[in-house]
Amino acid sequence: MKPLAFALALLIAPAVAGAQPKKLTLLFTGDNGGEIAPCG
Amino acid sequence: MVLLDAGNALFKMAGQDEPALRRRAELILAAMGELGTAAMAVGERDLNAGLDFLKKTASSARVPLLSANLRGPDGKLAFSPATTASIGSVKVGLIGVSPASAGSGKQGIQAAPPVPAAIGAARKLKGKVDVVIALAAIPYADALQLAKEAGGAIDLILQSHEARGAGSAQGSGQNFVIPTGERGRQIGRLELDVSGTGPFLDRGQADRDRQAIAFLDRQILTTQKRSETVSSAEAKKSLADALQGFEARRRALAKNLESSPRKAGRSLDLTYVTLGGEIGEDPRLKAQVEKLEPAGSVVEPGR
Repeated sequence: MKPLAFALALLIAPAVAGAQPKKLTLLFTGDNGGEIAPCG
Repeated sequence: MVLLDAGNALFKMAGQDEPALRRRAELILAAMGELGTAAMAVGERDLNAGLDFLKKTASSARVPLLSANLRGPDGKLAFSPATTASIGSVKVGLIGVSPASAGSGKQGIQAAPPVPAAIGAARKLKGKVDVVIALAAIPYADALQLAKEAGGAIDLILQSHEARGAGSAQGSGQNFVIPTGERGRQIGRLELDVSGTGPFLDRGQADRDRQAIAFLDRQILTTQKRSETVSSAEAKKSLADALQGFEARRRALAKNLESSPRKAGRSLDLTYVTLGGEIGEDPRLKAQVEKLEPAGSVVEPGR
């Protein structure tokens, strides 16, 4: 498992590139529970 | 692209409020702000360090917090109930809702019943946006109740509270309840097509139904063969009951497949990205994390 924040930055760029009219990409998280590191 | 958080991002357990954990919460909100998070619901555990801490930290990180039902000591709504985001030609309505337990009188915070508050906020958006999404930091049972009572007023309910992990979109006919992952282990990804109108169709559901039918066909065949080899009446009865169950489930799935629209007005495709070793790291954020939590400083069994 990777820290959430690190990985999100790398996922966003391709999602932006794929956006089209009337189509939308949502990325979402929940219940992160204070995690900042793999064993945190 | 829109980046959302369904809440309970900042603290692991209710009641935690040590200075070191506040610094982690600050880092998380700062990272969410830098990533351009469009909105986050206020979950019960996000309030561990108090209303003022949360509001100030989120404000300086530029993370919009939403809650349609939390009120502060002054009796006024503590957060915006809803917001909208425009991406290209698509307009997204976002509402946030917090659990009834988030109030419990602590620090003067009061929580109104979440379901009617969320529906009230959603109805104000309907017709003005292409899709209404509830960021629901409420128990799963409440999310199901919200799905039932909201009907077409809400399209998608992204739920957090019990850390249910990843899963499929649970349809109720007019909307879907969707789990939002847990502990930073995955990111949910929804590809939406809002070109038409009406309830969403889960584009992945038909494939899952076909796979389930194939599985049931194998189970039915195996059960029929076993039934031919057993001799006791009790075992035969047991296998006959199982067979009946498999066949009933198969009929229901086949009916679903036949009745699903060939072309949906609006549709969704849900996947999760697991944050494993193959995903790269942001060196600057990694350095900030290691300042708070040096590598190897925390060890949890089984992880």
